[in-house]
Amino acid sequence: MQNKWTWYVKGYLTIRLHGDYVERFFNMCRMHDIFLWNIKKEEKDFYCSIAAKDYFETIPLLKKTKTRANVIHKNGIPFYVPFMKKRVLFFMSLILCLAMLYLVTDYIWAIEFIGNLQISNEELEDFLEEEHIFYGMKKEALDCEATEKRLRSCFPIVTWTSIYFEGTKLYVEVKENEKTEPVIEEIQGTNLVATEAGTITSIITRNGVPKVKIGDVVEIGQVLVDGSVPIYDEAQSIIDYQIYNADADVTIQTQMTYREQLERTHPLIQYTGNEHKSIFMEAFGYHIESPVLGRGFQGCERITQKHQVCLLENLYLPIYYGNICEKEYHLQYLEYSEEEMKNLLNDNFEKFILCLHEKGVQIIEKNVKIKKYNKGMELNANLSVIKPTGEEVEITEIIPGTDKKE
Amino acid sequence: MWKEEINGIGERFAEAYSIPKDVVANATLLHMIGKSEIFLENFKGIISYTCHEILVKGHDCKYCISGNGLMIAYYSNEDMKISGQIQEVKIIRG
Repeated sequence: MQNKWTWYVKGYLTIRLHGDYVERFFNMCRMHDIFLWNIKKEEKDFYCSIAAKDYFETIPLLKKTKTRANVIHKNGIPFYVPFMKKRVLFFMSLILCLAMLYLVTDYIWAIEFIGNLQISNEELEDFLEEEHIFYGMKKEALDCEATEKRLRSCFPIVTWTSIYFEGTKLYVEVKENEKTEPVIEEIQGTNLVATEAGTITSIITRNGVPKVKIGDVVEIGQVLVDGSVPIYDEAQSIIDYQIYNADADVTIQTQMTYREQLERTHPLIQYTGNEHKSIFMEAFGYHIESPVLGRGFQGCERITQKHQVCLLENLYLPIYYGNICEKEYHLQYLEYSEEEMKNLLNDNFEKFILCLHEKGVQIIEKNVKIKKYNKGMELNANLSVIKPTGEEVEITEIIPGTDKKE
Repeated sequence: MWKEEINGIGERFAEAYSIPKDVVANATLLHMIGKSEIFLENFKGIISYTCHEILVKGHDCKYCISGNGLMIAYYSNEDMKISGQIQEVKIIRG
């Protein structure tokens, strides 16, 4: 027995039989290898299904058993051929559409990151870019397991990762180490060097050998704390150096300058209230936009809302649609008064000072001057500050210490 | 009489050599699933069919399947399937 779909492809008929010897007709069909199914009796008539190609073979049997047959219904694809012939273009485009859909589903058209809290999406995007994973690449070309391994090695904070597909969407799922235990860094050996020139005001060393003391004047790049600690023998002479990462709190008194210029004329955006809305569609690098009558604003703000076409929840296609809103504006040039300019410059300077305080910078002395120039006004400030200094730099050569322990 | 004797010999032969009895004794094989489906193999044909009763001819007897809404799901040279509310399966000898 063949299944329902096979009969549908080959074509079958539902027929009504009427006569005194219908059972004999069924038996004769059986003897002639004619398959019948769904045989049922309703009042005096019999109904059954028969393959379309077998129907003509039953004609002599019908005559022999004096049975009358009427075709009630024609089912299956062969009976749709005349219908399809009239609509060739429709069916061709339907087939083409299905073929395109089949082709498109072999590629990645969307990427989603799940579970990343400390690692940003941009960082993961950069990682995928390095791994040559991008929108529009073939799914086959991606080795998920190898990429997972590389992701774990690239981000030590990631304890578990899974890269998988759902439809045309690539999911990158990560689990980060929730306990914020400090990662034990390997000791490479670093010196602490000055990032500014100035006078040392305090130094508290945790690791390494201090090379400066309070009151010393240092230059940029000068070693403040040395990471190579000498080891002395019983005769107090250096036998070796132990390498550490130099660690210390060092503050330095230094000079800072602040300069800001403000032009008298400044542009101001003023919206006219005119706006144009249009819709667009993007596919395979082509952009189609609905024409808008009267387009041609000289200055306008363009807001685009873009959506990706998604079928059945996860089947993302490389087709985008959305709307564009253009708001017209004119630039109007206004002039500040002297008072306004002074206030603005002072406000900005106050913000700068506040920012320095937040960074732990202590201001000892400040000399602020506001003066006019041909286009506007400028603020110049010289600050004497005490700020933390020190930058870790890898040890390239060991600075020889004193042979004898002091 | 002699037909029954031959069948008896056939059945004993089938038992002795573990051969299916329906093949040796040319018997009709009825396979029933619950009370709504019955499969028949190795039969001669349909004698009569109404929606309450189907009479099937076997090799040496008739099988009467009665019930309600009986329908022949398929009818082929090898087997047939009857579905519906089967109430009784009766063997009519002779």
